[in-house]
This record gives sequence, C-alpha cells and structure tokens, in this order.
Amino acid sequence: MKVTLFKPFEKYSESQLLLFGIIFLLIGSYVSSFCHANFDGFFDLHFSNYQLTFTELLAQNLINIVVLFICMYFAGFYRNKKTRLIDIFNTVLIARVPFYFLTLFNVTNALSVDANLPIDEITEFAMSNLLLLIPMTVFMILIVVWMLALLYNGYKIATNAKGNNSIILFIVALFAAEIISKLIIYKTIL
Amino acid sequence: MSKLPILCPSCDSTLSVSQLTCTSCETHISGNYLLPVFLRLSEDEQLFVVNFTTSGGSLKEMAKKLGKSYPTVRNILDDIIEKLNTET
Repeated sequence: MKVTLFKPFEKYSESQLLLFGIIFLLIGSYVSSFCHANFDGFFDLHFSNYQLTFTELLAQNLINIVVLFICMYFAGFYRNKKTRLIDIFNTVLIARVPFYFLTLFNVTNALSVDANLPIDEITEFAMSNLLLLIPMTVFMILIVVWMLALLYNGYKIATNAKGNNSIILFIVALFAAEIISKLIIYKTIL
Repeated sequence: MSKLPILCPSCDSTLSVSQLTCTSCETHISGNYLLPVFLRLSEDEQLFVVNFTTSGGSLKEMAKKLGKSYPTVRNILDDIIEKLNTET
C-alpha cells in the first residue's frame, strides 16, 4: 500500500502509469470545472466565482504538466544520461493526481471568492467559513506533501538520483516550472 | 552451506582467500588470493546478475520476473556496474 501510494514508479510499468495518469487528468479536469477551480501554476489551486470550462482546465493542467516535465527532464538528464522521457512524464502526471482531490472541497461552491473584493470582505468571508477552511488547510498540506513525495520518488527512480546535487537540481526544476507555467497560463488562458 | 563472508567483520575491508581445500583428497593450498569480482558483490547482487544473465540480458524480462518497474531494475543494474567498476 505504501509503495502504491508513494512509490508507484517502483512497481508499476510505464504503460500502466501513463494510462492511470491520463484517466485521472481527464476526470480531474472534468470534475474541477464544476468546482470553480483554477490551476494557474503547478502548485496553485484557486477557487473563484468565475467558472472555467473543461477545455480551459485541461489546457491549464497540460501546461503545468508539460512545463514541469521539461524542467525535470533537463535536471534528470544532466544527472543521468540514461533518464527516459516516459519515466519523467509519468512522474509528473501521477504526482498531480492528489491535487484533483482538493477541488472536491469546493463542490458546493462555498469557497469561491471574488478576488477583487476589498480585503475586509475577504477576511469576513474567511472567518465565516473557518470550520471548512481549517480542515481544508490541514488536508491541503497533506496533499502537497503527498504530491512532493510522489514527485521526488519518481524523479529519484527515473534518474537514479543520489546525493545533494540531485536534490538541488530537483528543487530548481520545481521553482523554474512553477514560474514558467504561471507565466504561460496568464499569457494564454486567463 | 554457510554464507561466504566478503567483508572483514572487524574493519569492513574486503577479505581475501588464504586457504583452498580439495574435498576429494583433503589437499590444502595456502596463499593469499583475491576474491573474484563477482564474489565481492552482495548475495542479492549476485542473484540479480545470475537472473539477469538467465533472462538473456533483458531488463524488461527482469522487471517482469521481479515484479518491479523497468527504471527500478535498471537502477539496480547501474549500481552493480558502478560497484564493479570501483572494485576493478
């Protein structure tokens, strides 16, 4: 169970991981369209009153996936020339799966807030939804930890990463991907 | 049969062979012989090399046999190659 949840890359074949990742990408993007979600960066999820379509959410997810895939592949290839494209792609695809579960918190649209509202109104909104926001924050932290664990374990297996240099390259790739994906999404979709 | 020790339990250095015995006529040969490279690998690594050879050198076959993914098996092989390179 621990291997399946945190190190599926150790056990499952590339075709199984790819199929699973694509199915979850499609389901996740579809469900997110009902939850007013907005994935404007690999580690970003916002709920707003504006509802994005399934195609827009799929495009956001694909941009996040492809940008991180390119950054991580370069980091991995620099470390180990035997790094395969499919292993890094599957890592990024599967690591996003936990994120889709987070959107379910806003299935009733209770957490959508207009970002243009004055700060005191946003604070009032947060206070009135405290009972929902606290468990959501805890759950969100757990999901991000799970996501990072999946990313690192996948990267480690794909590149046979060892030592501090590999960890530094991995972190640099994550930061670069977050910035690039955010820029692309704001220039194209939002 | 007892497990062949390859490292000194006292200082962790690689052990060498100092005596060989003929099981048929009890002849003993003493000297100082280096352990063959293959025997300097751990038992699991030796088993991996044997399985890899009997699988015709196919990592895909090995992955199926061990119930692990292709990159996991390739990493085990890469680690063995690295170890063999430092040993020789």
